[in-house]
Amino acid sequence: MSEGKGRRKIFTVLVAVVLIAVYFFVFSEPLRPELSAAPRWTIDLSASVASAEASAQDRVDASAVSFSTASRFGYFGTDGSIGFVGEATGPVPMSDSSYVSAELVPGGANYSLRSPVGARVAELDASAPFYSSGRLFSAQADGSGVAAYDGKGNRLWSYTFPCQLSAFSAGEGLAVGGTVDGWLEGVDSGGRRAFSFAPGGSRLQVVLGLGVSRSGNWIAAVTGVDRQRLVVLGRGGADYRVASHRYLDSDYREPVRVVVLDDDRHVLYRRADGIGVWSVDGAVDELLPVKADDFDVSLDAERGLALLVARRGKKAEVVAFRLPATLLGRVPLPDGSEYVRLIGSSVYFGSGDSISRFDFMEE
Amino acid sequence: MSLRAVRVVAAGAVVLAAAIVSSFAFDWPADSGRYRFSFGSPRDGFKRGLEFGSSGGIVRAADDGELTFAASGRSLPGGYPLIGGSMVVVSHASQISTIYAGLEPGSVSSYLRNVRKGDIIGRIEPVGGLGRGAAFYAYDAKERRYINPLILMPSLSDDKPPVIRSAILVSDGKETALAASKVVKQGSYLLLVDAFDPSPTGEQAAPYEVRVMLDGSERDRVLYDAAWAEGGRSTLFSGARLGEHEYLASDGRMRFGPYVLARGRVVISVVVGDFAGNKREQTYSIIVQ
Repeated sequence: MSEGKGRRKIFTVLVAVVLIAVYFFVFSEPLRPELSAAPRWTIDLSASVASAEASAQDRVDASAVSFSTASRFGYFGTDGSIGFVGEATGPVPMSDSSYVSAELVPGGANYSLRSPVGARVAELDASAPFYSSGRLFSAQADGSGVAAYDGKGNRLWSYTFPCQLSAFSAGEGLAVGGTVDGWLEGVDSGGRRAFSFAPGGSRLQVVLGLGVSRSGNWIAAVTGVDRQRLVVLGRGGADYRVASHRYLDSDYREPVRVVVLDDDRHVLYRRADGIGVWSVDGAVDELLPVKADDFDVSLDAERGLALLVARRGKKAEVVAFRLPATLLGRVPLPDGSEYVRLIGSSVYFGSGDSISRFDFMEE
Repeated sequence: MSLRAVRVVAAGAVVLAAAIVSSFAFDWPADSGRYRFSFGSPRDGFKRGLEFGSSGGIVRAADDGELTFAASGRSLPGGYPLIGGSMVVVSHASQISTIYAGLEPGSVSSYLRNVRKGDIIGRIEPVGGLGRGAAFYAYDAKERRYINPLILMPSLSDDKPPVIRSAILVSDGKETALAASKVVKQGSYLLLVDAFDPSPTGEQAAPYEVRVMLDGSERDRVLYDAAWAEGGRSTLFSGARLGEHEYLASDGRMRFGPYVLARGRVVISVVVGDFAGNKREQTYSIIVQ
């Protein structure tokens, strides 16, 4: 690279960092005095595209973070180093430890499991691979089943549900499918049915959304039409039983986001008036006044801080709050932020051209 | 009650349920009934509905009902893919839900509540890289099983009989094509049947009925009427109750038997029928040594 090009790149990155810093000051709602958002770095992805076969072993460390946008995918380090960047024609199934590449062939696609540096690990016998909680799965072609794989691409089990899935989530040793006829069916790590439960209580039965805790101990679901219900199931011995529930005022007929936080206590779910915060025992019933079609949450348990990325249409914002529902502030993200990832108190966001990081800091 | 009697009663129940529903007469959801693949066609496993394929075509509600669920986009919130596009579920008074999948993202809406027969549900996703069009399923929510949609639909004119491409005896992994060989050793054999019914668009779709007879006596009969899953296992046909992987080989051939063939002459007949009643029969006379 020539000296002139190098200077231009440094200048571009500096301008991007300054613009992001200014953006936070101008557009964000005031953060509580004890909290501030500090920009860290911006990566220029357009200068970093490598072929999928390129070896970048020395540039990827154990803290590799995956990203995928409509045009690019790859891995970066939490320190702003670039691990691997590839061109994409659409979203790529990815986790922080592997990703799946597809080669279109007549009548289908051939899938390969690859390492974070693009090296082929195995051919994948799969219909539609995807990751849930970092685990690799494949959807059955008609949307009514799932197969699970190990880290080497070996199929561990496959499971056919009675009908199409309208929701799916996985935790430690448990995958749960919610069906369009209103049943929750859990599958254990051996591919056996762990439980089957129909929440009922509504005129029309359907599972609109569900979340499984990382531990696999809790399952929360929004089910039914007329009336809609939030139901929480807890592991009790070998079975799952209703731990709490409440009726909702909503009338959704579309997927509803439900998340069980890593503290194994709080459940966040989409409501018409914001995001509901519920506790698995039903003792907490609060509202975060943040309207979102979809959201993701990260919990920094050490600092008692939770971050939430809320998406509505093409808009996205990051919301900081303390559990259960004390709003600390919200930072809108630039339009076109296709990628947003929350890790602890850090926010990574960007598009096909760049990725930036900022951290929420306590004074 | 014998197992056979239980199976007959189960088959009767499905036919009766279908007859009750068919009095409400569903309409074809797309392409005026010119489906590409039928219930049972091997499409990455046993197809549990119909598949339509006219790119950009309109998909309409098969009957009056209420929209229960509409998912648009490429995946559900947890990442589970919506293969081929969006999905819509409509509940009907008859306890049947109709499921429309593989619709073009953005062409479906969850704001539609009360659905009238013929209402537009969405557009067919162009048949793209994965070679699939829109899928239509009829699901009996009470019995938790799929019903062959052809049972519920207006009849189509069809005078083309099914095609039997081959019938092969298999023992210890060794295949003996019945058309080519007339002598086999005595023993236990599976029968692999390669047959299809031409769909209205000329694709190789599934038949509606397959029977296997040995020396004039019916040994196996499957009726493509229903499919369901229990405990994670896909099960087919209300009468025969066969596991999908027992019945359908990975190459799409149908597996029957095992049959113990003793010394002497054996006449094996395979009869394949379609939903319109057209039949094709192949008879093989073999010597067992």
